[in-house]
Amino acid sequence: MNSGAKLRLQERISAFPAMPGNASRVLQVLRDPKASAANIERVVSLDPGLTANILRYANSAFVGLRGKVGSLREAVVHLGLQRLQEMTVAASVNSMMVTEVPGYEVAPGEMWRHAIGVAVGAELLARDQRMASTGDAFTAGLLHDIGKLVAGEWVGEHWQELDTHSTFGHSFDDAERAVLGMDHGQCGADILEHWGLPRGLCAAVRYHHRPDQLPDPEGLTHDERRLVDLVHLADGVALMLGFNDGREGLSYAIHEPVAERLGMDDRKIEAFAARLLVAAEEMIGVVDE
Amino acid sequence: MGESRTAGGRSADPVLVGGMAEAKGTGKRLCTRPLGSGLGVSVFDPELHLGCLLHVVLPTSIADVEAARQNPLLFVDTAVPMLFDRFFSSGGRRARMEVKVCGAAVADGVADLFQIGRRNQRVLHSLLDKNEIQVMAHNLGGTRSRRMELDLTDGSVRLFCGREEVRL
Repeated sequence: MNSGAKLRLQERISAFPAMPGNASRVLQVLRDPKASAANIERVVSLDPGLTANILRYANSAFVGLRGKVGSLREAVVHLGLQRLQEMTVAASVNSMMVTEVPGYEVAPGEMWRHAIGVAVGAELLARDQRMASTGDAFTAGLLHDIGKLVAGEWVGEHWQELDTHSTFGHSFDDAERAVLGMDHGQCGADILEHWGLPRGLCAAVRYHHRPDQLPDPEGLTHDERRLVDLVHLADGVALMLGFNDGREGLSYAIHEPVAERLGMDDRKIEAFAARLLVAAEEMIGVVDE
Repeated sequence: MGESRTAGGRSADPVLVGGMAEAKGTGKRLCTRPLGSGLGVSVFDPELHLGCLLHVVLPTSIADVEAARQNPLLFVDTAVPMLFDRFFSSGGRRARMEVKVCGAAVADGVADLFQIGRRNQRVLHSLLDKNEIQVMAHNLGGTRSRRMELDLTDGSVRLFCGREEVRL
């Protein structure tokens, strides 16, 4: 392992930009149990881009509301706090994720497509599992690869070693841990902890490539532990569907016990893949309009 | 249809995921998004410089009948016949056609459950065999996700993965 690379990675994580100020304010008011719809509307309306995205999202088939939502007040009432939180996070990280990701050689826009694919897939699985907090699944899926924005520089620098390691029967995240001392999931989780996001989201991001290594009990609820499985499976299926063109490609393991825990067989995986694709393409259209 | 820039820096007409595009004429190009475990299938008539390119993602429409009704180009069993119908109805001739197939990447060491790429290949080859259609060139399997670009000048196919480019 290259201890210098790990140290520099940790320094970059500490220096990673905070969430944009307005997103932090919106998330703060959304988490305040005493906040009224009028309070929320006032804070969100300060950000015209976020307001426009929320209205488009509220009227999308993925959300599935009956009737047209024409105002921010209606959207706040109909969408609920959880969905507003999803959209706030999505709008705030969009600009970070639409650029090219060096090292992994992800083309401009493709990281965002992948993030939306995994977010939508994790939420669909959470709905199928009848989990109470489907919004956390969306947000965990959206942010699961954010660590690549930090790790990319070192992936580029150490590409030959990483490629050689992953060619000899190891997945790419194994190679990252062996060569860089950390994988991109660990980098991402450290960023989210730095942002003060909930521990369930951080665990889902940290363990998304190695769900069977999630420590027991790690102080997580049943649903928070399940979140790791949802992001893992949605990520695997999104990669198979071509949501991501990074040069490491599909060099990641997909754990069969996760599919078993979620009650998936090959037919159900394909049906899920079809739903993910249709919903993700629609969502990408909503956010990109 | 808008133009997209391929990894090679050239402009090409984009093919949607679960979509198909057709073009005619020297200098024109068609390009898919990253294929992942999906397949890119091109058919080219060198005399007319006519080409069709399909990007299909899942093996059989039984998986989701409603999704297949809304978009039959998502599934190999329903999309491939549509690709050849389109090629022939645009004047392409069977005697001249050049078929190339790419994609079907698989994740690392996974159980059969996740082998969508291999299932896609199986269904495609069974359809092609049944209709006695020969594949002129292919680049299938492995873990790399590639974009496929068809050049209507000469029917050549280029594959892009990161900054790597392979000509087929």
